Amino acid sequence: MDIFKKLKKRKTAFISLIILGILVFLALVGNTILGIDPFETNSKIRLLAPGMGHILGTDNLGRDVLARVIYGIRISLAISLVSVAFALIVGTAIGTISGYVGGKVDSVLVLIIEAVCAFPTVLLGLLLATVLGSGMTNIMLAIGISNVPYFARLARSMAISIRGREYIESAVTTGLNHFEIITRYVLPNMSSVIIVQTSLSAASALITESTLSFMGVGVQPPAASLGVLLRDGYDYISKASWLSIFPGIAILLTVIALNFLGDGLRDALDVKIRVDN
Amino acid sequence: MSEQLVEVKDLKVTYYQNGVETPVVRNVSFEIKKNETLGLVGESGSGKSVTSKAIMRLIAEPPGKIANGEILFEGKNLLKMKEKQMQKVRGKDIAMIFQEPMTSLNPLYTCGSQIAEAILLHNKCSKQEAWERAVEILKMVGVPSPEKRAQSYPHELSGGMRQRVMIAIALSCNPRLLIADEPTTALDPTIQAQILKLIHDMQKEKDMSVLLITHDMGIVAENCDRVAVMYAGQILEIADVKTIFGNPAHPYTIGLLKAIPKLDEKVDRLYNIRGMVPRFNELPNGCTFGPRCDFCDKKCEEEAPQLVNMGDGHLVRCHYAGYLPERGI
Repeated sequence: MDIFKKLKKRKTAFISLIILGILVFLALVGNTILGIDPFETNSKIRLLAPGMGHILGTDNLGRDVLARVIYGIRISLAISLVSVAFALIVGTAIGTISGYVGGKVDSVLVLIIEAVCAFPTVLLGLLLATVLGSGMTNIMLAIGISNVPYFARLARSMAISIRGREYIESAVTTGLNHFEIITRYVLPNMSSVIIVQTSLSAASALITESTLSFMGVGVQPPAASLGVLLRDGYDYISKASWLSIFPGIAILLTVIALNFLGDGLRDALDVKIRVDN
Repeated sequence: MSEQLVEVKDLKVTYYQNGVETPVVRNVSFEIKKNETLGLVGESGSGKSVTSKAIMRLIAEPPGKIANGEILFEGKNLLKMKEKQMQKVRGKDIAMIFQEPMTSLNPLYTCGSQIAEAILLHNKCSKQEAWERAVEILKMVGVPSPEKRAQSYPHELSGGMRQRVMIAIALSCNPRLLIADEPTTALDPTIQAQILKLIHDMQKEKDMSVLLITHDMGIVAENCDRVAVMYAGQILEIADVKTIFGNPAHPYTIGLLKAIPKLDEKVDRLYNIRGMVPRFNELPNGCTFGPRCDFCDKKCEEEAPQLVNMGDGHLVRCHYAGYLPERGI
C-alpha cells in the first residue's frame, strides 16, 4: 500500500481520512450503538438545550438532535456519494471517448458538456429537481448530472494528453485494439486525477445537496439530510441555535475532510513524487 | 514466393497543413528481403518515420493520409486490410521499437506484465505461461536477474534496460519484420553498441528482417545490408551498403559521407551541406535537392529526376548519376 503510506505522511490528509472514517462509521451504525432514534417524538422535552441525557439537545418535536445529525450525515453522505459515482462513471466515459476519438464526436460532446456547464450547479439542481420532482433519487440524479461536466472535462483533457504519449503508439504496434488501449492504458493513467476529483466533487455535492434541501427542493420529510436539519433549525435560530449549529458543524467537518483528503490524494498519487522518494 | 518480405510500391503519404494537402512522402518504393537489414537514412523531417509508420498503418487520419501506393507484406497488401486484420499483423508479424525508451512503456504496469500482455494477445496460453515466457525473453535480451526485473516498473530501470524491455516486447511474438525507429538515439554510445548488437543477434536467431531507421552513417555501415537514403520525402539513392559507402552516386549521399569526421585526417572545419531541408509546402519544381547541390544546373531546376538503375539494384535519383566524376567531384 504505497499510496496509503504516503497519505500517512500528510498529516491533514490522514486526519481527514480518520474523521471521514468516524463519520461513515457513525452514519452506518451510530444510532444503533447509542440506542437513539431520530424519529421518536416526545412533546415533554421540546427544544431541550444540550446537556445530559440529550447531548446535543432536542428539537421542536422533542427528537434527539444527535440522532438526527447522525441520520442526516447518513442521508447526505449517501446522496453525495451516489451522485458523484454517477457523475464519475458517466462523465469519465463521455470525456474519455470525446478526448480519445476526437474530431466531430469530440466537438459534439464538448458542446453538450459546455452547455451543461453554463448553468450554475445549484441552479441546474434546482431546475432538475423541479422538473423531476423532489425526493432522494431525483436529487441524486440532479446533483449527479450537474457534476458530470467536471469529470468529462478532466477525463477529456487527460485522454488527449495520454493519447499523444509514446506508450500508446507502442501499444498500437503490439496489436491492441482501441477498447483495450482505453481500458488498459488510458483509464489507468488518468485514474489518479479522477480519484482526486471524486473526493473534491463529493465535498461540493454535499454542499449542493444541503443547499437544495435548505431551499426545500431536496430530501422530503420524514427523511432528513443535513440541509433539511439546517432548514428546520433555521426557524428556531434565536430560541434554539443548537438545532442549526450542529448540522452546520457536521457539514463543515465533512466538506473540509473531503477537501483535505482530495489534496492529500493528489500528492500521494503523483507518480513523479513517487519516483523522487 | 520471392525472397521479398516487404515490398513498398510508389508510396505517397500526405498531411493536411493549414487546410492544404501536403505530400511528405512521395514515390517511395523499396523492398526488404528476408533476413536482411535495410537502413533508412536521412535528415530529420525527411520522411523516414512516416514511411515506417505507413508500413504499420500508424498514420493518424486526419491529419495524415496514405494517398497512394501498395505495401505488400508476404504478398498481401497491408493498405487494403481492415483494421481488425491489421491488429493481428501488428505485434505478431511486424513489430516496432521506438526512439524514446523512457516514455514508450506504460508507467503503471510492471515490465513483465507488459511483455506478457503482448504474448497473450497473439498466442493462446495461460497467464502463467505468458509470464514465464516474458521472463525467458527478458533473459534472452540480456536483462540481468530477469525474474526480478519482470516485477519492476519502467521508472525503476535505466534507459538501456527499458530499451531492452521494448525489444523484448517487440520480439515476444517472433515477428517477421522488426522496425527500429532510431532505437539508440536516446542512449549513450556504449549502450548504443550493445543494443544494436542485440538487435543483430536476435535477427540471426529469429530469422527476421530489420528496417533500421537512423541518421547515423556509422550505425548504417556496421549494421545494414542495404541502405536507402531519403531526402524531403523521396528516396534519392538505394544500394547495398558497400556501394553506398564505396561508390555513392548521388551528390546528397556523397555530401553525407563527406560530412563524417575522420579520425586520421586533420581538418579545420567539418564539411557541411549548405542550405537547409526545404519545407514540404515549398518544394522546388525540379530536383528537390537542387538548391543545395553543387552540380545543379538548368535541367535540375526544371525537371524532376527519376530513379536511374545503375545495375545490381543500385538506384539513384539524379540526372547526372554516374557522370558526376566528369563534372569534377
